[in-house]
Amino acid sequence: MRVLITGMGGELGTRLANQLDTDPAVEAVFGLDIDPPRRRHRAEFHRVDPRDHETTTRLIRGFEPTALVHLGVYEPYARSSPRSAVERTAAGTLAAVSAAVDAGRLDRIVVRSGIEIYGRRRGAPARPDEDVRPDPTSPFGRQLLHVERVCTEGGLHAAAPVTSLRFAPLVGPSFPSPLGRYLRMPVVPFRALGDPPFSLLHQSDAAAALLAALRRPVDGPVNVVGAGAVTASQAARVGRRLPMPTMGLGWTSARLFSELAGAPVPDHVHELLTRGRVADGSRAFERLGVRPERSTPEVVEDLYAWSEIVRVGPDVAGEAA
Amino acid sequence: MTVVDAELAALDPDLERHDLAGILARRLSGRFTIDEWGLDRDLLTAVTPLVRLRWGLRIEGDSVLPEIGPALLVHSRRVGLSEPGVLAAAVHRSTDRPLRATGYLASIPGPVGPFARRLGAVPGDSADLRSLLRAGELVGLPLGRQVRHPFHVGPVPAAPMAAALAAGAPIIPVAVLGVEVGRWWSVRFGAPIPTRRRRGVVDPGELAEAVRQRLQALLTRARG
Repeated sequence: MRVLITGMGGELGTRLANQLDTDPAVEAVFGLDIDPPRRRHRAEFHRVDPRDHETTTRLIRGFEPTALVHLGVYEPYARSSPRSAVERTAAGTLAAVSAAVDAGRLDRIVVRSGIEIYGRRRGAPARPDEDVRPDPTSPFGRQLLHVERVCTEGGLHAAAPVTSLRFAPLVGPSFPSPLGRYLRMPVVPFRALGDPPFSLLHQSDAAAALLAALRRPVDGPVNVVGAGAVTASQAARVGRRLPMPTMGLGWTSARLFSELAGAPVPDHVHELLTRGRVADGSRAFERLGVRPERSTPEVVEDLYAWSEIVRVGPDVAGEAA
Repeated sequence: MTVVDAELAALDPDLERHDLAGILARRLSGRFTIDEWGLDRDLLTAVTPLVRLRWGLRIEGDSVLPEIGPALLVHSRRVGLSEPGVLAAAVHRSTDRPLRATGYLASIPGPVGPFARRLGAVPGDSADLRSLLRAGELVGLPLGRQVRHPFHVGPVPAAPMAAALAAGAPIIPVAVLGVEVGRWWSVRFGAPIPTRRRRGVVDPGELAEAVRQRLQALLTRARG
């Protein structure tokens, strides 16, 4: 298997590349991103802006991937501004998928998507499963829908199965995410009338799902969601933050203060805080054999825990190779 | 033999401490359970005595309620204000399980809808019904209002029956009878209609008709 990982510089891409290093079924790993991965591994990495169509296409055609793991889906305010997140995601998806299909050896596509794709329109199902038609109501949700559509089309051209992994929001102490930053502010505004529940996913469970989908491709979307749910006020109390009841116009100032405090609230996070975000994740076990190890409350505990940093020396084997 | 309550409580929410000190400590530390549909078990525990003050229940045939696993409880409704609460109280008293009452309650704007969700109300979208039954919950499905003819069963929709069939959840007809401002309500559970291991293809419409007939029989018996 020749694996192309777009967005390898992120936490998920780095983890996946590390795990593929020791896999005998993997012939080569090739990565693209705007930022280099934080840890070293044997995979080949190229630092390319996804908007640079020519370079992306040239590199991918040269590599001739048999598997595409598309993690180049940029969440607004995670690692890029909302505008460049949209541009990078749209341009990068189109370039990566078309080049990987054109290279002619593609037999599977795995995409990072999210449960933001379902949208929270009034009357929308509270806990949608994969049979619910995506109806996104936030820019990030629409971004994900576009990514899934491009990948599905690419899969049709290459006659390859496309697994869209719809992750619950990912937060963690070392994971750049707007929701994580918001929940770690000293004061956390929450919806006063009916603080809605949301589910989360731990990054290691997301990486495990990516690996499982890569090894056993499943055609179609699969929700990957940590068990259980929390509300914003509950999370704030777990983290010993001050939960602040907010309603109506109060959200405008809450979002402004939050942005000044260094945790801007993009629309999809505001939607999560006011309308909730959960999804039925039972298909992940049925089809992929993946059951997230960490529940949503555990992910929250982990977010606030100052876990010890383990410094690992330079990888000597990697150096030699 | 030693009792390891702390560890067990972490594994099983039913073993949590239900005394005031235990509940308060949980609330302040944020380590209480709110599930994916917004149900808050502590709140449910707190509200139960109030429900007993308001309603007196006569429960019949509650042995059909499953202790584990899903079931679709199709119940009659007259005006429909008290029925979800009455049925939830009856189910909670018999099995100590929460009832997921579908219907308008969860969608009331303002503080009422969100509060109802904390007590187990869910919007009745068919996707939600599917997902609730798959997760092994007891789901309450109200039938059409029968204000003038409380002993007559209205049409039974087929889509929820299809969801129960897909999940293999038994369908239990329930007659909920009482007067809106009265104290005494009667809740009669009928024999469950199995949906698992049925031979051949079952038409949800036929199933709906079977449910309607059983519920009608229950109501007729209650009247006579």
